Amino acid sequence: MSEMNRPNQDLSAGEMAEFLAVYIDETGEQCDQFVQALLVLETDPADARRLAEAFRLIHSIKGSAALLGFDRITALAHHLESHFERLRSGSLLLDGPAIEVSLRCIDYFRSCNERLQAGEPLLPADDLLESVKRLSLTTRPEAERPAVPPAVVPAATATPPASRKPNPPEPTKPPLEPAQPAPAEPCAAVRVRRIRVEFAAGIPMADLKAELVLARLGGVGEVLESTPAAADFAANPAIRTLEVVLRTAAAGGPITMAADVDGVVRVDLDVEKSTPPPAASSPEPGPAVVETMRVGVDRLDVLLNLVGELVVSRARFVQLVAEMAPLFRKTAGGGRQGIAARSLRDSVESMLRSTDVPADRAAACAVQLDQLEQQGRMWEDGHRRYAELVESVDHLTRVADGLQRGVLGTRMVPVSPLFGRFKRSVRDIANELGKNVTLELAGEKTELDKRMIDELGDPLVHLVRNAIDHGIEPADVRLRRGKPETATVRLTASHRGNSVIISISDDGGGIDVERIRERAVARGLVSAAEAATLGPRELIDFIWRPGFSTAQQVSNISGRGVGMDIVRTRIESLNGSIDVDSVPGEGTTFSIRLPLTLAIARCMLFRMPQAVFAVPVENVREIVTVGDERILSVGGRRVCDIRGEFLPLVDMDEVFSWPGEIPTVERGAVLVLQAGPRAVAVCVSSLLGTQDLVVKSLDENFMPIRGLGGASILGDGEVCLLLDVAAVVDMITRSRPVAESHP
Amino acid sequence: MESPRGQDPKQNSSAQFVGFEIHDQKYLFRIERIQEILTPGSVTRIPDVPAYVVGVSNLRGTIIPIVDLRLLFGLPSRSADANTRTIVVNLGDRTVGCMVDAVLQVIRIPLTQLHRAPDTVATEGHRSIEGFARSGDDLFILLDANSLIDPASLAAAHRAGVPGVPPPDMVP
Repeated sequence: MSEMNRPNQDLSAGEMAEFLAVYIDETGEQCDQFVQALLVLETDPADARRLAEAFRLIHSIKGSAALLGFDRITALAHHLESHFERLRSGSLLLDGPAIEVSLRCIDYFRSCNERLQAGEPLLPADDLLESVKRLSLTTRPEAERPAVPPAVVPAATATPPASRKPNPPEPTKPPLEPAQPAPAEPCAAVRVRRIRVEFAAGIPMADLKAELVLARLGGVGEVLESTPAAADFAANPAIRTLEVVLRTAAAGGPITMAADVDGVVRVDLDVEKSTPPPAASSPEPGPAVVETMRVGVDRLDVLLNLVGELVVSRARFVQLVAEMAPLFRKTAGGGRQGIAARSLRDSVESMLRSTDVPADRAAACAVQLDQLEQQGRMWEDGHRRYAELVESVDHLTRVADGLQRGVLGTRMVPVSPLFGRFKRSVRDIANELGKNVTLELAGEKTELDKRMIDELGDPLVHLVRNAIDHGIEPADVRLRRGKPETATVRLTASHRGNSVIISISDDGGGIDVERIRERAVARGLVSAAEAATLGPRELIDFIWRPGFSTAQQVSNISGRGVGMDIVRTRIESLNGSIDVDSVPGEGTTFSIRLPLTLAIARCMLFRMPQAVFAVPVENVREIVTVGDERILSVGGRRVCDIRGEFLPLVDMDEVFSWPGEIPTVERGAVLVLQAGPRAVAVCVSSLLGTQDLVVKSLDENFMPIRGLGGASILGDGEVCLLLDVAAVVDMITRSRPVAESHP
Repeated sequence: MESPRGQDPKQNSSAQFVGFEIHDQKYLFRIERIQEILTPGSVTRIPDVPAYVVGVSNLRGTIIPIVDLRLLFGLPSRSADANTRTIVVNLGDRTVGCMVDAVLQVIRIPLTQLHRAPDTVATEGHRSIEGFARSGDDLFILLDANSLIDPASLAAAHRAGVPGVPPPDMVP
């Protein structure tokens, strides 16, 4: 039974390659650190800090290997971890043989990394495994079968390592083994679908709408290709049909919803394309592994700024070349000059031959004509050079664009690998708890700063485990409540204004506020009388208290004291926030809001007299043209009818106050902006299309402005303002009644 | 190059300043404060700020606010001309651009020629006036960039309802 390098069937080849690269990178580093710790321990075997570190490292290695399904590495690390657990708790002392065996394990892990890198199958390590198992046996036989779950209880205050182990005292085999061959596929299948979107004939701004459709589809999956291609939209302002090949796990409903913007008359999903191009390579023996190296984030920041500069001067070049174009057009001065010069030459020749014109005057004309012709040749030369310049600028543009994408790409990573890790862990946790759980993922393409992704792993693991362990009811209870036996846990990511929202929701029983009430009183956090007056929201807030748990018993998975307070602290250290929303009997949703200081948002840009504005496409529901007959004025407020829905209609000067005079302009189009359940319509003077923007903060050098999520720099160096749609919608809906008190 | 040590009252020591002009009055900023001097580029207006914050600009990939010192001093605004400059000043970890009528020159002034602002001046809402200096025939006002355009105080000024800024809820 040779261990394949792609044992985790849930992962596509592409995902596997991504994870592998991270795995090799991380474990390589962890092995180095482990050896360092061992070297210290060799001289001082009781160094508690080093022991704890070694334990943590080996635990991380185990966790990473388990996620990728490398069962040999997992088993080895697992037993080594158990040994270190005993060393750490002081029940055993680190001796020479243990150090020797540990180092051999590290050598094995490193050799595995090399083989993985080369795409070769891993070697068996049965002998080594036996030696590791013997380590504990030789010193204290009964240690192999502890009566209590061995793990971690004493370390409850430590920050949880990457993944809390799903291991009860080992029943001869690590628990991951039985999970492995299970063919059940609890995760929504990722498919490649070809979607045809038809637009109504003759609608204005069809190209922009097509861009919007594409961007919105990008939110439910990965757009592999489109016909016409996005770059050609502008050339076909009257697009009638758009075909998009989408790699997505989303069901038909959400896809259709994403594609159905104003002006779309028909959305077809046909599920052919049986050989998806990117996934076709999966039967290959092992995915190629990209070597990675670590680079300081500050260096990337410097690069990013330099590239920004480059892109700005590139844009300037493009503009200059465009402005020069009329000078060098064939029909322009130079070209016509040639023709004029030739006919002049004829006249001068005849003048020279003629006896009517004084010879000196004719000769003077000839000299001047010579000069003129020389000018013409210079113009020809300039024309050629200009063509070369245009070509060079094109090249510069391509290089600069590629460089920008590349540099941006170094910092931004999609959440999909992070989310993907949960496919495995959800199944494992669910199996262990005997629950049936489907994991749904959405918005995996949402990109986040790499650092955030790294930091988010632990909190998400905790929340997902919590959801399965506490949130989801046992199957019989679910059936009694009329719910499907298989529970659903959803992990979604999306942009909202200047933030990325990651939410974890379950369709379980919701947070039991009565239990919280009891626990809060029992723990002396509030008096019984006080507790009786607290509402559900206030009670739910108790879950953020350190050490607060409503779990009836501490399971291996959660309720171990690694509390929600740690999750919250971690999120807040990323300048984020976490919120919980729970409906009794229907489920719980945790929403993590993270800033995207450096994130890239795909935005719809529009020009107003005040400035150029950008709105994340996730917040753009429609682009419509609204005739005056569809606008109602109610007490100085405008409301417009958009596809049967009456929405407040505002201008930018109603949302914000602007110093100085703002010229009024024609209403070009109306953007319907959506934040959560609420929507508003905003008048726009001209739409500029969509663009990827690097969001920069306004408060870095200045101060935050409500309604603005930040700013970004456009190709020509101009600053555009990014709307925080959630805040804008809030300001509009809130300010209305208040504003009416002003005369 | 001698290090400019503004605070050091030693004899013979001097400090370097950048002189600039607003409404025919000459001012100084300490040179250590100054990052660079630019000809004004494109400025994007921003809402809900005092009128003297004319907007934000792109300084090599960073967004910086641009303050028109004329408006900050309550003087009538003037459209930019060939002499108009933006002085980019560093205020600790923040960078702000200041629009001035003209930048004069870098001036070295012996510290003995620097006179502290009398308390009466300093208390009358002119905390930013650090002192006065004479160089040749010219009298300069030395400004403390930090207190002049501290973003925190800009925000506070805004909240306090600086004249020229309509209340946020005002509707046309």
